Amino acid sequence: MNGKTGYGGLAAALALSRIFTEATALPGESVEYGMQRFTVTVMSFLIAGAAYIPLLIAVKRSGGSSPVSVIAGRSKLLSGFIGVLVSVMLLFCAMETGLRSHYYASSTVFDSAPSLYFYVFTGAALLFAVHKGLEASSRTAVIVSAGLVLLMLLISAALLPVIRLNRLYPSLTDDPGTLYAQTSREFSLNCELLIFMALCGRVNGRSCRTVPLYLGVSCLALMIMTFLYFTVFGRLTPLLSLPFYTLSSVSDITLLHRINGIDAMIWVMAGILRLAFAAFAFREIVRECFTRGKAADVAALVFAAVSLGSAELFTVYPELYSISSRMMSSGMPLLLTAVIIPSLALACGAGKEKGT
Amino acid sequence: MLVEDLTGNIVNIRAVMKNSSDLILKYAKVCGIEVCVLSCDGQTDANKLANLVYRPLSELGTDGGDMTPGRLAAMISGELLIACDGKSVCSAEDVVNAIMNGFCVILVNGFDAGYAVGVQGFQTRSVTQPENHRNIRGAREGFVEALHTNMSLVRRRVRSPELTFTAMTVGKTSKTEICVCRMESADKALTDKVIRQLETLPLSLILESGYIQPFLEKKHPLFSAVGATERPDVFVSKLYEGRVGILVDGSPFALYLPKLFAENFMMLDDYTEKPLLALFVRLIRWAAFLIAIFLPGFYAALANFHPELIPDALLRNLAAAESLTPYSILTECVILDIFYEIMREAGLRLPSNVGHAVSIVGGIVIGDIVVSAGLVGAPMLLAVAIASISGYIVSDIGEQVSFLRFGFILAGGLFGLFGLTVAAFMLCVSVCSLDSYGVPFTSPLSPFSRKSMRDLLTRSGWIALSRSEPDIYDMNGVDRQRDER
Repeated sequence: MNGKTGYGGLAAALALSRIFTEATALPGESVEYGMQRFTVTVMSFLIAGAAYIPLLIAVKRSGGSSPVSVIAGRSKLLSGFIGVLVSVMLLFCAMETGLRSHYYASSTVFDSAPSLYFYVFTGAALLFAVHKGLEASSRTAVIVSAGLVLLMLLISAALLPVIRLNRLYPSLTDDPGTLYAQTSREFSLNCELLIFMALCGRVNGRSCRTVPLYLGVSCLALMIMTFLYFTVFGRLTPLLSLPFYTLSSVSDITLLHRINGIDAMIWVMAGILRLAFAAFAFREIVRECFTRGKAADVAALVFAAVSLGSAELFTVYPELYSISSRMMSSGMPLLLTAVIIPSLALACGAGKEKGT
Repeated sequence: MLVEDLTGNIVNIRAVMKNSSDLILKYAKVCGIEVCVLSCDGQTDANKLANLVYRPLSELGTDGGDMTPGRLAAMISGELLIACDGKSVCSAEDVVNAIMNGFCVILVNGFDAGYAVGVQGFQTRSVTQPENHRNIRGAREGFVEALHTNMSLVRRRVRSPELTFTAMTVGKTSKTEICVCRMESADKALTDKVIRQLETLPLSLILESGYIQPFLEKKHPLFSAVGATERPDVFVSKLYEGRVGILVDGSPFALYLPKLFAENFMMLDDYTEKPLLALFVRLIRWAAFLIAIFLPGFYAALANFHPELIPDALLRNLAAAESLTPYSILTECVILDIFYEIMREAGLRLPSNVGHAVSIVGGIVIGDIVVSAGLVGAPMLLAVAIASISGYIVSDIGEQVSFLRFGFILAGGLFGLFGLTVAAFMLCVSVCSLDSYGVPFTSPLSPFSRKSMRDLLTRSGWIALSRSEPDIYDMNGVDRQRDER
């Protein structure tokens, strides 16, 4: 349960987690699959790239340790405060993932599985993944990512005859307000910043390589997905709520009339992995800020179970989801992980050097 | 310890052997001194014993003159006996160990040590083609039960000091000889760790290499990160990649570690074919593995829960076939799979001539009758049959494939694609969690290694492969220092 992972495995997990949020949009979300989607994607990734820079500098300076662990080495009080903040955000991120997975499963080919089945089986798989540890989960992420690539190839090949390039046209600068709103919304879905910050100390060397790999791969995948939406659905794209699922529903590979079953399998696995990685990040935070040893492992298992179980709360109390959504898109995670924690870590590191 | 009194020594040795009836004692008077030759029935070669021991002793004559026991013993060990293997023994336990291993021991009255001469000659099976790992091109030699024959089969393929053997005896009761083999390129820490683990084996009886396998691997309910092969050429190629091999006396299966999951899809023939053909065959094997474990479960899931995913024309045919059968899809699938497993198990244990009869009864009689009697649908029979035949392609993990297929039938049949997804995810996590001495079982797929791709799904040509030495540790995310489990 306490192993380390390679940077490639972590990058694959983060990329899968990022693409998962694109493919499993919730109905209340302001994500619009309009023509500005390309620009939104590029801009949000540029912001994400910029946001990672201070974090990467802090990680590099500390020789690969996570910034939280550097802060924890200097001040227990400060790290405790940061630990609580990050844990709450991770919990919201995990609950949102659980909600997305459930919504996705209940609105797609898995609608035959009752809620109880969903929570019991997904929960069992999640606890199993958390129990098996970071290393096993990140290796699984690489395999699921390979499955996603295969799915995209299948969809592309199946839909090749209906792709019309003339459906692409630039309308990006027509409505700057929408563009801004979309970009900020897109970026706010980026919980991977939190996960990376917590887990960067658990990467076998070269942890900084995770970020460019993850950002590059996710951006490319999102662009390809967007390209497919527009070239297949054209002006109808903004009307779709789950465009990638719809895309797979109209794919026919002869052997299967529709391949949305495979699509659903991939995203359910990706959802479980995203939850598992949130649990691993939580475990690291607990370990650095509160307690070490077996208690952190148990806390991760409890976190995983609670986050999936309480995802249903978002459905029962929509206002709770609004609070979580506002909190996550307020820029607080960005401020915390891109500015406050790296700055504190750098300051603590500098202070320690001076002290020694 | 042995004493100068021959009678006392014999009494001690008999006591150690609990008066076992296979102890053979031959008394003789040599140069006026009483001598006893001890051997174990069935462990020695009578001709060797006669030519190498009895004849030289008899040529010394019975008259002693001024011969002393010490001088006679020195003459026997130093001048008289010509044998490739000889050693002094100083205790009753050493004497018993030696004779159990095919030596004969000569004890001289009045001298407190014996001399053991290697005259091994037990019956062994000759080197034949392996039963389980057949190939089209390449050697027709397989390992046999005798350790020394197996060692020679390995040495004949690597006539270089880079290959070293470390002999050991394990098993408190069986005292089985084993041999740890490694090339110079193998990780020293890995070899030392394997030797340490073998030295501390808690087993009393070791009859097969499979007995020691669990002590060398991480616990996993299905897969093993220790490989077993009957082929010396495969074994040598694994050693060349930096792995550690273990030969066990009495077993024709040699062990090597660490083993990777992807190796289940690689055969020796891949390296004798053109790379393009090797690529094709390897892809077929991967596809066969996926078909073998998923197809019946996938079919049950689609037919039960998601018929909209099946093409219309096919769906109509399937519906027509299934409407004639009395059982649910899941029940049909489970019954057929259990039938198949029963026939497979019966076919495995039966003599080959009876095995053919089982195949005919199973394949033609049951297969045909169950469909024509309307007990199961033909599409379901087809799905299970294709899956079963596909399972034979990856014979090294045939048992695991059968088990997984059954699990996926239940998951898909009871909970549809959702159940199949969760089961596949858990299998994936479980397999990914396995590693052996720091090498992930799923590498080089995950963690991904671009360099290793030249010999994974595809197989580069020999010119490209020969540019760098193969190394099991040469993979992304694998650290040679990380051998602590």
